[in-house]
Formats: sequence, structure tokens, C-alpha cells
Amino acid sequence: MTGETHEPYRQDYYPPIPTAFTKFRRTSIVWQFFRFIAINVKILRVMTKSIQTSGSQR
Amino acid sequence: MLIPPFAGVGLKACDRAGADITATVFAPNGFMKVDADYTAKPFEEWRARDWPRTYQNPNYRNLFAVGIAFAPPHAISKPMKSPNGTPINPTAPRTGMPSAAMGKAVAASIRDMLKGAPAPTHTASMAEAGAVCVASTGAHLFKGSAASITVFPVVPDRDTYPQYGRDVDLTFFEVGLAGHWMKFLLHHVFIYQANLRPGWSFLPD
Repeated sequence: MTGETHEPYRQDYYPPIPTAFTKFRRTSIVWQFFRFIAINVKILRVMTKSIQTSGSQR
Repeated sequence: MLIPPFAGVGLKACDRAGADITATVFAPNGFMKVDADYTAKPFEEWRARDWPRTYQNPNYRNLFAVGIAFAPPHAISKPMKSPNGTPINPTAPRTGMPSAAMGKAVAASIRDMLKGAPAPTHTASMAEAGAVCVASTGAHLFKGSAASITVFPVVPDRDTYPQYGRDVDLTFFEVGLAGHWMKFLLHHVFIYQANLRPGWSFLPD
């Protein structure tokens, strides 16, 4: 394990200021429809992985 | 979010003989001790395995603490200090989805122990489970917005994920209308489950 591992507050980890195009995408119904599907898939993967790693000890 | 440090309610515990066992049952901050590794160690030596799995008190097998009630072994990221010396210790979020997972595991363990199991049968370590948070604003379906956040695992595991301590594919943050739609659905699913409508227990919580 290196010192690099334990540096959680580097400046380049902070998010950039959103551009006009980013703001447009955040409210575009067409684009958000696809993001809705993508985020749902991601959440299902998190839940599935959590269930796989936790649970019964038997 | 910066808030004052949490603390337990300051209960005094006594055994059958009336002897004070507060220090055995509770950590100095008032939270209940469970099956975590409470050995004091520097940030560089913190490990995912320090975090509890069964939430059973090591001295009293009939005592469990979940959610905000159990004593965390340590913070989850590097302790910092403000310019005037106030300590800032990032602690693990123990409400919401992690609480539900812990509560479910402990309830199943208690059920099995009542049926004769000698030890807890279910686990829910925060170092092995993820969490999802959707914070939305506005009531209109097309004018609201939301922040969708997922994290896996909740407590960083630097042995499994050496670079950041988390799975960077499953740890993300996004702002947009999609999260608002999701929160709308979650709201109605929650109400459906609260009313115990047909099939409520099969829906995700």
C-alpha cells in the first residue's frame, strides 16, 4: 500500500463547474430517459452486489 | 455535511447484582459496543474488517445494536482539523439503506437464535454493502431535479479496492431529472409497502 492510497482530498477530485451543455442535458427529457435506465441498472447492480456479500453465514 | 458529533443517549447499564457495566456495554461516546475491532490505531492501519458484521455485543449475546445505535470502530476517511483546531472526523452514514440491511440481518439472526442457533446467523457489514441515495426537489414531473448517489462499499475497503477504497464504477453522483423520476417511483413504492398491499414484501426497500 502506498501513500497515494490515503490522499482523499486532492484538488483534482473536486467536480468542475457545469457547462451550459451539461445543464441542458440535466433537464433534457430525451437524454434523461436514457440516464433513467442507466442509473436504474447501476442501482440494481449495487443492490445485487450488496446482497451477494452480506447475508446468511450458514 | 458538517454537523456536531453524534453521541449515544448516555444510558447507565447494571448487571443483575447491580454492578455498573456501562463501560462493558457502551463505548465512551455512548454507543453500544458490538463485534467491531475497537483497538485504537492510526488512519493508515484502518481496515474494512474492523467494522462489525453481526452487531452482537461481545459480552452479552442477547444485546444487539444497529443503525445509529452501534459504536463505529473509527471514522471512514482521513481525520482533519479546521484552521482553529476543531477536529473534523468523517463518520460513516448509518441511517437509511445501511440501517435497513443491518436491521434485517439482526432480525433474522435473533429469529434463528430463538430457534436454537448458538450464534448470529446473518451478517451485514458496511464494508461489504453499498448504499443508494436520491435527493430530489420539486413536485412537477418535468420541472424537478435530483442528485442520484450510489456508493459501494459504504466503508472504504482499501485491500479490495487499493486505489480509492471503493468500486469506482458503482460509486457515482449525477444531477438531473432522471433521479427525480426515480424518487417519484420510490415514494409510491414506499407508500404501497407501508399499506401492506399485495406483494409488498417482494418489492425492493
